Amino acid sequence: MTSKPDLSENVSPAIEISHAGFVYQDKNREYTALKDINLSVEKGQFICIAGQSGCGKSTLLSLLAGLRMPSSGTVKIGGKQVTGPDTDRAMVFQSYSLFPWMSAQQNVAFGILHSGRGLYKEAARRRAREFLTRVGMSGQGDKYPYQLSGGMRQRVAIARAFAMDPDIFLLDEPFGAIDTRMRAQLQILMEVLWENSGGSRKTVIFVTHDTEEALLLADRIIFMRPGCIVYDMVLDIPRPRRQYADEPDFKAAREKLLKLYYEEDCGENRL
Amino acid sequence: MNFLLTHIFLAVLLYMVFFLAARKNGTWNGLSFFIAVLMMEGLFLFSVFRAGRKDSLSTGPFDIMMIVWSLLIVWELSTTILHVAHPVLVPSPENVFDTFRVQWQKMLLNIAYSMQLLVTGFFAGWIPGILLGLAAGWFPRVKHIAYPIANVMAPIPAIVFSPYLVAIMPTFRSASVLVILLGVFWPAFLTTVNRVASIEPQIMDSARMLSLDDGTMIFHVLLPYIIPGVVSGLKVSVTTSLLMLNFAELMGATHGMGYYVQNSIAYANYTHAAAGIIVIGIVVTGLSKAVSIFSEHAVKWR
Repeated sequence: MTSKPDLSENVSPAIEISHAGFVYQDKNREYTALKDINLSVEKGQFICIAGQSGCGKSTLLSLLAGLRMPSSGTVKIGGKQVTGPDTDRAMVFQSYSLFPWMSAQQNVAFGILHSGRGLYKEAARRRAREFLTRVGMSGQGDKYPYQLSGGMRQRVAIARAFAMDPDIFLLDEPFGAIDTRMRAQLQILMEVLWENSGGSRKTVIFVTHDTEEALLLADRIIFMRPGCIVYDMVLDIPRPRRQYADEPDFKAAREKLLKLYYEEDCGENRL
Repeated sequence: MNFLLTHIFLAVLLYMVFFLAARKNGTWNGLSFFIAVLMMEGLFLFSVFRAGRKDSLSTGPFDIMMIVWSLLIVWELSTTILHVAHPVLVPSPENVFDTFRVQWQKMLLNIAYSMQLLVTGFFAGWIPGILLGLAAGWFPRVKHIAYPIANVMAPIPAIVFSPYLVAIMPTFRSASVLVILLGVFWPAFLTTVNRVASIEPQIMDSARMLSLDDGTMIFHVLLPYIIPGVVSGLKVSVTTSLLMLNFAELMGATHGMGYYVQNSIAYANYTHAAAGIIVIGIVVTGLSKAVSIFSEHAVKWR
C-alpha cells in the first residue's frame, strides 16, 4: 500500500475553522454576525448548514469562500489559511451566479478557462457542452441567462461549478427561489453529480433554511442560531434518502431539527 | 378621417404652389419646393403604413403632418403670395428649397467636414472616458484621484471653453475636436464609474470566486456589464457633441454646417442660412435615428 497521500489527507481535514468571528462594520455601528465558530469537515462530506435567516450561515460560507476575512480566529482549507478566493473552491449563489452577458455555454467555458486547468478555448468549450448535458441542459447552451428559468439558471451555475473541478463546493441557498417541483429535481441532480464527482468525492458546503432539503442531502447538518453553531447532527441514513423518508431514523432527525428551529438563543446546549 | 384631413391641407398647399404663386409673380421656380413636399409626403406615408400594422390608433404622424403643412402654408402665403413678410429676412420657401438644388455639393462637403470632426472628437473623448471610468471603478486609487476632478469638470458646459480654445489652439480643427472631446470625456467617465459602482454584488462575488486577474476583470466583467448603460446614453452624447461642434463652428471655422449658416448670415444671405438650418435639423435627426437603431441591436443579452 502506497498510502502516503492518503495519510496526509487524513491528517489535515478539508476545512478547519477555529474560533472564527466576524463583525460587520458600518460607519457608526457594529454588528457581530459570527462569534467563536469551530468546525472541522472531512474531505468528501456533504455538509448542510441550516438555521433561520440572519443566523450568519451565509457569512460563514463567505469566510470559506474567501470573499470575507474573519475578524478573529482562523479559516483553513486543505491545511492552508484562506487569504482570498481561489480556484480550489467554486460557489453557487441563490441568483446571479452567471454573467448575464454570456450564454449558458460561455458562462461554463469561462469558468473552466479561469479554473487553472490549463485548458484552451476549444477544449473548454467541449467540456462546457459535456457538463451542460450532464445537468440536462444539452442544446440550450446558446441561450442567455435572461432566456432561462430560475431552475435552468441554477442548473447552468451548478454545471459551471462542477466543470471547474474544485475541491470544495460552496452553495448559498441555491434552490431558495425555485418552485417545489423543480427544487426536488435539482436536489436529485445535485446528489447525483456529487456521488459521481470523479475518483474522490468533493466536499460540499450547502447553506439552506429548508429542513427537508438538509435531511435529503446532508451527511452532516450544522444547525446555527444567530452568531453560533448550536447543533452538529451526523445523518447515517442510506441514499437516496427519499426512499427512507418514513424510517424512524429520518423522522427522529427531522423532529430534532424542527425542535431546534423553535428553541431560543445559543443557550446551554451550545457546542 | 385623419388621413383625409391631412391631405386636404396638402392639396391647399399644392394649389398655392402651382397656381397662386405663378399667377401672382409671373415666373415660377417652385420645382425644388414641390419635390421637397413630395419627399415629406413619401416619408409620412411610409411611416403611416409601417406603423399601421402595429397600432392603427396612433394619430401622432397625422397631427405632425398637419402642423408641418400648415406651417408651410403660412410661410408660402406670407412670402410668395401675399408678400407681407420682410423680403430679405424671410426668404420664400421656393428660394430656400431651391438652395438645395444649387448648393448641394457645397452642403455635402460641409456635412462631411463636420462629421469628420464630430467622429474624431467623439471617439477621442468617449473611449478614453470609458477606459478611465473602468480603471477608476476597479482601482480605488484611480477613483480617488479622478472622481473629484470629474465632479468639478463635468458640469462645466464644454461650450464655454470653445471661444478660448479656438483662440489658443493652432488650428480650428484641433480646437473643435478638443471642445467635443471635453464635452464627451467627463460625462462618459462619470457614467462608467457610477455604473460600475452599482454592479450587482453577487455578480462581483461570482467574478471574484473565479480569481480573475485585473485585465480579465475589467474587460470581461466590468466592461460588458456597463455596455447597456453606455449604449443607452449614446444618443444624448452624440447629439450634444453635434450641438457643441455647430456652436464652435459659429466662430472661426472655415468649413462645416455651423460655418455655412454663420457665413450666409454674414453676407445677409438669409435664404442660404435657412437652408443651412434645415440641413442641420435633418443631419441631427438622421444621426440620432442611426444611433438608436444601433443601440437596439447592440445588446443581445437582455
